[in-house]
Parts: sequence; C-alpha cells; structure tokens
Amino acid sequence: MRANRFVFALALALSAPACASFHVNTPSGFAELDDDAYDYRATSADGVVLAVRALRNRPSANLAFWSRAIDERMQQRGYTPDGEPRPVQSADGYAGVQYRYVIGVNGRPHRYWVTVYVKSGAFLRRSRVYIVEAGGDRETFEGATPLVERAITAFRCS
Amino acid sequence: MSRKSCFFARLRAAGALTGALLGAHALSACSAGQSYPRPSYAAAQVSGASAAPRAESLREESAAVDSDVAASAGFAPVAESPAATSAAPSPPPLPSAPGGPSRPPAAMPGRGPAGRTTPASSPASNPTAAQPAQAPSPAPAPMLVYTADVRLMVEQPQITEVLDRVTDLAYSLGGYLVRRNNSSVQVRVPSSRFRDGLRQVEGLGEVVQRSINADDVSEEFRDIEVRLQNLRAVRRRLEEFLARAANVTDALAVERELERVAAEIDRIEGRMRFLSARVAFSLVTVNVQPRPRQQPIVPEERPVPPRQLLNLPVPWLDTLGIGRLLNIR
Repeated sequence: MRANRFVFALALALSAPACASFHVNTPSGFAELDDDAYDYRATSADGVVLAVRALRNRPSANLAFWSRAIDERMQQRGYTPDGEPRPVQSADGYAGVQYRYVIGVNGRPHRYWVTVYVKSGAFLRRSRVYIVEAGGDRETFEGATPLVERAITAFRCS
Repeated sequence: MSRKSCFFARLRAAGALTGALLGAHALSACSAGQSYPRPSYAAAQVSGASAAPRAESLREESAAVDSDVAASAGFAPVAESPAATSAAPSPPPLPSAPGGPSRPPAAMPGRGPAGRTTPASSPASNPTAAQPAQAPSPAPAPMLVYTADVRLMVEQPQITEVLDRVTDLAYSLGGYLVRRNNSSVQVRVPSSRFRDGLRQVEGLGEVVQRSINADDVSEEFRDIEVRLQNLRAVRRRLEEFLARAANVTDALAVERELERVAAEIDRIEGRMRFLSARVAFSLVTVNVQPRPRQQPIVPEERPVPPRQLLNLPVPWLDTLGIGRLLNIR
C-alpha cells in the first residue's frame, strides 16, 4: 500500500507541467496586456512595449549559444546593433545578455532590445530560456528607457 | 700638235682621270651610306677618243707623286705624332680606334667636343708619313664607333640626382653632354674611357637593360682617305697646269676644275672629321626609370558570398523582432 502511494506520487510529479514562472515588475505608466503571443506583455500609452517569453530550452544549450543565435538572426533580418552586447543579471542572480538594435519601421527609427536569460533546472524539462523584449519608436523609447532598464534588472526567473 | 692643243689635251685627260677616280669612290661611299655626287665633268670629258691614252699617262704621273700625296693626306702622319699617341691610351679590352697607330682618333683625345682635326700636316713635320704608301703597313686597327644604352631603375626621388651624376661623370672623363630630358641623358665620353665610364654609370642604379654596339667605320674611312689622296694629287696637277696656262681662257678652265676639286676635298675632309669624332667619343645613353612600389600581392577582389546560415530548428527565433512586439490587437 505504501509502495503504491510512492509510485503515484512520482507519477504525479513527473507528469506535472513544468513551471514557467517568472516575475516582472510592470513599469510605471505601462499597462499589462492579456494576449497569447507572449507570456507577458505591457505597453505604455505612447507605444513602448515590454514583453517576456519563457521557452523550453530545446535544443538544450547555454547562454552563449542562445545569445549568439539571437544576435545572428536579428542581424540577418536587418537589425543594426546599437553598441556591444551587454551582460546583465536578473534580480535572482541569473546571468543574461542584452542586445540593443536600431531598425527603421515605416521610415521612422525604432529601438529594439532583446535580453536573454537561461535557467538550467534540475531536470531537463525545467530548463528555460527567458526572452525579454522591449521596443518602440526611438523618440518615445528615449523617455521610457529608465523604466525599461529598471524592469529588466528587476526581472526574476523564478 | 700646237702647244695650245697639247695643253687642252692634257687638261681633258686630267679631267677624265678626276672623274674616273671620283666616280669609283662615289660608288664605295654610297655603299657606306653616304651620298657623294658623281662628277658630271667626267662624263662630259671622257668621251674624247684621244683623252684615254693621255689619261693613262697622267695616271702614271700621278702615281709618281704618291709619296707626296701620302704625306699631304694629313690624318696618317698626325696619328704618329708623339703627343697624340701619349694622349690616347687604348683600353685593353676594347680595341677602339683611338689606339690605332695610323688613325685620326689617335690624334683627337684631349680635344674638346668642338675640337677640329687638322687633316693636312706638312710632310716636313712628319718625314715618315710617306712610308705607308711605299710599303703596306700591317692591317690597321678597326675604327669602331661605340654606343651604349643603359636602362637603370632607381627610386623615384633619385632620378634627377642620377641624371646629374651621369652628366658629371661624362665631364670628369673628358666627355660632354649631348642631350637630356626628365628621364634620360645622353653623353659622349672619350672612347679610351668608355668602359670605365660605363662601369661607373652602371653603379648608379639597378641595371635593367644594357646594350653596347660597335659600328665599324674602317672601310668607309679608308675609302674616303684614298679618295682624298687622289683628289689632292689631281689638285696638284691642276695647279701645275694653271701655272703653265698660256692665256686667260685656259687659266679659267683650270680654275673651274680646281674649284670643283677643292670643294670635293672639303667635303671629304669634313666627313673624315665627323667619323673621327664619332670614333674618338663614344655615345652613352642612360634611361632612368622609377622603381615600382612594392605592393603586397592582393588576390583579385571578389565579392564575398554571403555566409551560409545555419537554420536552427527553433521557430521562436523567427518570432523575435519589433514588428510582432508592437503588433497589439
């Protein structure tokens, strides 16, 4: 009877969906949106958007791999790097890399920041890649930059 | 035959002899690239039937004065003067004409570029001059006109300096400047210093090309030398005729012939001076070209093909970007 309980508990633990929790502070003046495209997305009234996605680490790779893959893909798509990649750290101590780009949208320059964290779990299925994106028209983004930076550094992977 | 008709017969015969001699040498001169007009006088006078035997007798008479002619030929005796031989040491490796014992260039070294040869020297000053006419001397040294072309490669800023040094070198060797432009210089140096000068020129830069040419003018010089001797013999005979002329008409006819012979002698002497100067001074042409800059060998510029991209099987990478981020519905 006791053995049956143990097997049941193990099966329950393995079958439970991996937790993709993270914590982000919605910047002041931003409104959190409810949509399916992102795990989290908030926007300011003038169009600066902050979004987070928690993705399974498949294929399993480290921060160097994902940061390089992201930068390659963005530059392929015409994003111009705005400075060197910046090492960042989440509020709970996970290392990350932030890339900043400039790109034109409808003839206007826009800023686009993408920050990647990799959280390696005890089980492979718990390993996560967190993508924190921020962007908007360059003019409006300049005013929201401190808020966005604060939100990124306050980001927690758990 | 009266005395007057005898005089004219001898005069005609002299004219025939002059024409024959000049005509024969004109052929050899033309073959050497020079144009000497064949005297029309010969063609006009030789037609007389009685002129031929008298011409023969005159030729014999002229042979009798060969020793005088040789002495008055000028160039050969001058060459044997002690001053001349001491002033022109012949370079051992280049048997240039200035070293020849009986050639005019031997008398020329030491003269300036505008130096003039005095072809006629008196027999009295050179009593041995008549010897070559009586006993043939051994084969004379060839008269060679040396020309050298040297192409040097130097650094671009040194071109003018090298040209200056070539000019200075020519002067120091006793030569002179012929012409010069931005990249080349032409100088003449004494043939006795030709090799020395050429060696020094070649030390001024990297020799890219060198050519040396020796043009043998011995045959032409000998031809016109003999021709000159004969013309002088004819002139001597004409002067004798002139002294014996009985009246003004005869004297005028002889004067005309004398004038023509004298002009021909002047032409030949000028040609001999020209050849002598060419033999005595060798022409050195130096072309200087800049050294090309050393440039690294760069492969041909080809457009670099775009890097082949690895298409990671990660769909969410394609969803990154500001378009999706700002797309709020």
